[in-house]
Amino acid sequence: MLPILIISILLISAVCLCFIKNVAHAKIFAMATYGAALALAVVMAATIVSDGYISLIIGSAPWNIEILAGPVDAIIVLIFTGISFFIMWASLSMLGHDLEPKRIPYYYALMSALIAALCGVVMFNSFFNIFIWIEIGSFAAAGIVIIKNKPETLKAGLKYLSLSIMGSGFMLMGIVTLFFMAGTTTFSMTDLGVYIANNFAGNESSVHIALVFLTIGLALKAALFPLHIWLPDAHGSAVSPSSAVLSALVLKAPIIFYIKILHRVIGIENMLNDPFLSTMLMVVMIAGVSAMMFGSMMALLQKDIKRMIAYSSVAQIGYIFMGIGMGTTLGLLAAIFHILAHAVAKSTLFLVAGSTIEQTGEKYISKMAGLGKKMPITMALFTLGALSMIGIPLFIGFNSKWFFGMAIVDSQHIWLMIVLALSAMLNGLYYLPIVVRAYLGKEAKEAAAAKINIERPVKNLMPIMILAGLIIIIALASSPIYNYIDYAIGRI
Amino acid sequence: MNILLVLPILLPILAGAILPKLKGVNLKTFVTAVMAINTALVVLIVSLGDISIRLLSITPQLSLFLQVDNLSRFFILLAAGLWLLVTFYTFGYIKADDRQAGFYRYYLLSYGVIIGATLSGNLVTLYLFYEFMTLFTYPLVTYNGDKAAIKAGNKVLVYSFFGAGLTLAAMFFAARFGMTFDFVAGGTLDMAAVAGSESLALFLFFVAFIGFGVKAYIFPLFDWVPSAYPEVPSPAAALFSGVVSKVAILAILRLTLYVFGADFIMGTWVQNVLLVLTITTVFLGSMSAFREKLFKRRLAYSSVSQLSYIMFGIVLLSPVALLGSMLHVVAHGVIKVVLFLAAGAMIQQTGKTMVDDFKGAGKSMPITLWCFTLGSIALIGIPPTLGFLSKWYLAVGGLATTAPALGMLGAGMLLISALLTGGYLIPIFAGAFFPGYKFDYTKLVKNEPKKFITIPLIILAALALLFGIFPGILMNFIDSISAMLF
Repeated sequence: MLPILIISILLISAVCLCFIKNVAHAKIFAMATYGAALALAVVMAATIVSDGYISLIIGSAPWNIEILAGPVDAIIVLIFTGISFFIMWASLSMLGHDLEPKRIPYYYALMSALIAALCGVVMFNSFFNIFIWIEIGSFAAAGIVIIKNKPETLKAGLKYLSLSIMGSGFMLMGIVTLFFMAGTTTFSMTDLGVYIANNFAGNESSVHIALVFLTIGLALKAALFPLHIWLPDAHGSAVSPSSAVLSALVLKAPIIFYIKILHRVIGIENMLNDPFLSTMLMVVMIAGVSAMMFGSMMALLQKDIKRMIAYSSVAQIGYIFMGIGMGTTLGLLAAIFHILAHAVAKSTLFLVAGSTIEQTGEKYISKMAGLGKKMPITMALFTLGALSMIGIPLFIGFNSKWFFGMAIVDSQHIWLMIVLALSAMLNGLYYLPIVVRAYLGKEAKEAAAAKINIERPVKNLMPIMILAGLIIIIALASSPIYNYIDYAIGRI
Repeated sequence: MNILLVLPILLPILAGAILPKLKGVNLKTFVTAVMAINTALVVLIVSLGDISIRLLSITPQLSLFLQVDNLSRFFILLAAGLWLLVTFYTFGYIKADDRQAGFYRYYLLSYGVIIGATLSGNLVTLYLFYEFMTLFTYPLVTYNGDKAAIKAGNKVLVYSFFGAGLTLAAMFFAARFGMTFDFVAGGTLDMAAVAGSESLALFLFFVAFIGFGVKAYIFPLFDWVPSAYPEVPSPAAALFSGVVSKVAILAILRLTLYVFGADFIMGTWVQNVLLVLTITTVFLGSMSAFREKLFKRRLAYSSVSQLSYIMFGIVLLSPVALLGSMLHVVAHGVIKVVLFLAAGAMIQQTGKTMVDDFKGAGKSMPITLWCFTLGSIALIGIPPTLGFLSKWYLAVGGLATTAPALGMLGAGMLLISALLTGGYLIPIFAGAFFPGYKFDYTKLVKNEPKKFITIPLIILAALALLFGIFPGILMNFIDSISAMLF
């Protein structure tokens, strides 16, 4: 029942929030909901650790509700509810800057629906259910972009929504293909997986077509290069807590779904042995690698801090797809670990960027010079996030880099090491100058001399500090996490 | 008991972290107290015996492991000793302005991670401290805060990260051979696992060596040195040359003799290529120093060549050459600190930066110039200084090697380089003491720097001489290290 409980709490709260007019009440109510969701996610994770799975089927196939939450899902739901809790906590003091007060309750309503949808995508086992959750998620995600009510967010939000719907169309075609292939009896991923395992010979073309559609659809939703075109606009223009949620969490749900399609439905043996499917896997990997290069290069060219961080997300999503595309256990392990690493580091960076924009009113990177003297804590947090992105040891980004490095050495694609090295170098090239110019140079000297301090109150920075702390804590404590993911990917 | 190993690393790091927040505490007193306590801690753990502690283990290869062996003792004492003495010098050198706290913060942070590097028990831990060394020394490089300093700092950063990246990539591949990267005398390479891909393993060793070599100024990756050193405050320059580069040497020693092992590398193309590279660097460094007119850059180029003496000795892979190398680690460590500190004092007192600007300085600041002279003589390698002894063993090692042609070339190059060293150092102090009959002595005024500056200089210069006269303890200690290795 736990999965249903998590989702229904969030959905009920979404409905209630639409009727709460008092902003302060709405905030308290919303935070109580996210806290409850996080607590339930912890309980659920504990249950799954001891029992292995939580499975629940309501109604009869094919039009039923089917939940199957395994170890991977426990981790991901914990990430979704946990990270969103801290981002929303940070948003309490940030939203007033960008949103009209009357919209704030709606913002939290959309956010509740979005988190519910993300958890739904991860915990449900029926294609039909997942499709619905993805749709709810798409609309809610576009909503938290558009709600800022500026011309550019409206444009970005609509672009996001239309491409997202296009992605859904592709997905739907893929799902329907599989549904008809198996004789229109089931939407369950597990059942379809069993069917394909037994009847792959003879049904190759259906599987091929379905996978192509699903890959395109999910690549659109996960912003995999070259289908990332909506991402920089949406993530760059939304309010910062939205950007953080979009980058850290929303992109990850379709990725988990895609991993399940590959491993639970089609089966990794088929993926590797069938010439067409293995080519597909290769294409995904190449797209990931191109994303790593292209995203970083575009990030280098950006003048707007949030757009830069958004392009950095394009690159980081590339890492994850590279890991998936390797088709090996180690690659998948690195990819799933990177989902966690990126969620923590990227939400920190977006919230920090939001804080600096809020305090200075400037969104341009060039205006961040000398900021280390004016906002010492905020820029220290930015430095932490940046060092993690570059992959300095002791920060979570290094663990990711290490796992990816090990996966590459283990795979057939040794040349990826060069990509990994180049990408780390590019990350350094666009993150480090910001850090350096924040503390050194003419502007820093002037700021230090003028003794301007525009730091936000520590109590407002608390959630960002916790997220930044997680960058180090998880890096040091990643041994159990690593072992658990290792155990979990055998049970997708 | 083993947890004690963490203390000398954590104490300076924590002290550095809180330092700018301290109100009402005298900065110098605080730094002195931290350095004193930490030196005591270092002495304590050095005398505790071979202890080790595994702090964290994420995967068998990815773990934080600290240990004390004789090699760590050797380097930790060198690093802690030099850092302590230079601390007093900084009290006389660093101006008491609002950036002072920033300097000492990173001074202590760098000290902590360098102590950490010397205590590292595996390659991953060493890599970790190595990266942090780059990060924490960056604010010291850019201390002047002007455009040139930031540019130099960025160049250092790019080169250092590039080098560390090479090492990391090599580690990824080497992990495939089932290496745990823990340091064991003689190496941990499992020949059975490597069988069939020896050439790959050799290449990995080469890449990792070059990666660490960036910070030990190996050709062709020393281009950042002449850009960086003139910008760095002199005490920091002294420590970069005397200690930071020695951490790179420690890393190379660990990589060569404690991870891959001498037997594996002996007589291969890698050994020959590295010999050629180090010999080239010796020559290029000395030659560039000889032609350079900017004082601190001349000393920086000099370090380039001297560090390659050390690497040359390591790559020869024999006990005698290693003895020479390790003696030269001490010799160059102490001497180059003396030279940079003296140079810093001369530059600060006169405001001049070129080598020809110090005519007659021997009369106005005799103590500084005498220390500089003593350091120069030791670096050239005139007996009975330590510089003579180390080069002697390096040359003997070069002549008695399995790669006779390159060994002989190297020994010859040591001689040429010694002459060049004389050529670029002697004119400075000769001109300072004997400025020529046309020199106008009436303009000279007493210009000796503060006691904080002269006393560490005298101690260090005396050490350079004393180690040369009484090298017995050092040599026995080094023999105890190499006995385990060959």
